[in-house]
Amino acid sequence: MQVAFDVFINGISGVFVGLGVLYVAIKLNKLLAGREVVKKEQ
Amino acid sequence: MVFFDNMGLLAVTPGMVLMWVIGLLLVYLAITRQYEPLLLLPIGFGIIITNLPLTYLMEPGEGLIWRFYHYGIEWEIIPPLIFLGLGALTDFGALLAQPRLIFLGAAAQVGVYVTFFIAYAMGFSLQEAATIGIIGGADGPTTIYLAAKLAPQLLGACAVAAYSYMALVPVIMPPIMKLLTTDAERKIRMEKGRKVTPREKLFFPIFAAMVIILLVPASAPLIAMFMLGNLFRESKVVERLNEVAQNSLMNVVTIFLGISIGATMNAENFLRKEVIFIFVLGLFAFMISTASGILLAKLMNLFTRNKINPLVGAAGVSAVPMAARVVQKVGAAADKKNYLLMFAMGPNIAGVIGTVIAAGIFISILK
Repeated sequence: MQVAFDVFINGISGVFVGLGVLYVAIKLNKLLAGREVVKKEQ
Repeated sequence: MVFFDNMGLLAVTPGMVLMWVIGLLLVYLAITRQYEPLLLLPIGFGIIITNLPLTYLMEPGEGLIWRFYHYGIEWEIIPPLIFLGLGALTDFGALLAQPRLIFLGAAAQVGVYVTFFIAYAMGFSLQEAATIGIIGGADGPTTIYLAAKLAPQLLGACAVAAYSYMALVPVIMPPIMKLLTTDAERKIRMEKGRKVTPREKLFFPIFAAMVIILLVPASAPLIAMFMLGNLFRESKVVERLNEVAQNSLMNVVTIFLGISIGATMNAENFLRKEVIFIFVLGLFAFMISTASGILLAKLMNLFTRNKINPLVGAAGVSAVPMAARVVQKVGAAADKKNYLLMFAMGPNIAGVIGTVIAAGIFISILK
């Protein structure tokens, strides 16, 4: 049961951490690649 | 007479006949109700022919369908190729425009782990429990990929459960969505996301592949192919590859996938009480995943000014794009002019990635 509990905790936290880091990556991506078009539009 | 000795008719068992009925039922549902026909049709046919006696179609080393199964699924070829096609079909624009919705895709994985825990407590092994739990992600190829790695004996049942519940999304999800939201919440109109530049869409698959694989290396086969397919799409320079990944290749592997899964479901494997538990637990996982996405959206609304329509959280289960369409339909029933489809596509796609990460975590711990 202890192993199952470890998988449970690691799994849920792992998914949130994984997608949380992806969230940060999207924000960084916006900084890197989102600007150019704004300049062009100006 | 040798002819009579080799006749299949004399070797038919009641279990086989029952499996023919199950196979015919899937074929019927695929044709008349159009429930996931691309998969349920070949799966149903695969069930019928594998339960015809003395065919040896699944005889290891010999049978025709065994070869499809062995080289396609056991060698982990087919699910990643399907992800290549899915990547080529996916537009990440909705997710990039509203990145906070990514967490709804994470919340929807709660059902996977809750069900894993319950299945283990019911006596399934850790590997079997993980395979049953992943049904809650409502992602067929990921379920098949994980089952082939951790519990091949459950592959057929789990795959059929996953695709059945994906087909039943319009039936299963709306009652949960209505139960957990008020009329006022269903009427929330979300602010339009910002415009996403083509360059952001181009960079995203590369960044995302690197980030996710660095965190969960076991998810590499699925994520790498998913993002490669998306890079084909967004690069705009390999239109031929993009077109093949989306259509021809996807169609070819779907044929082999469907018939191979169906053929794993022989009477001895399938007619067990555990299979009933798998279907019940799979449904439970799917319902919890739907509910947890909605509840996280409501929780996020407590801390944000720009409110999220909680219905969008239900799309955190993968089932692309059916779950997002159901969100649109339920939202429109409350407010005709509320267009939630584009908002729901964000968590929907995040759900696909979240389910792959969940599968990767299972593999890295339990394999």
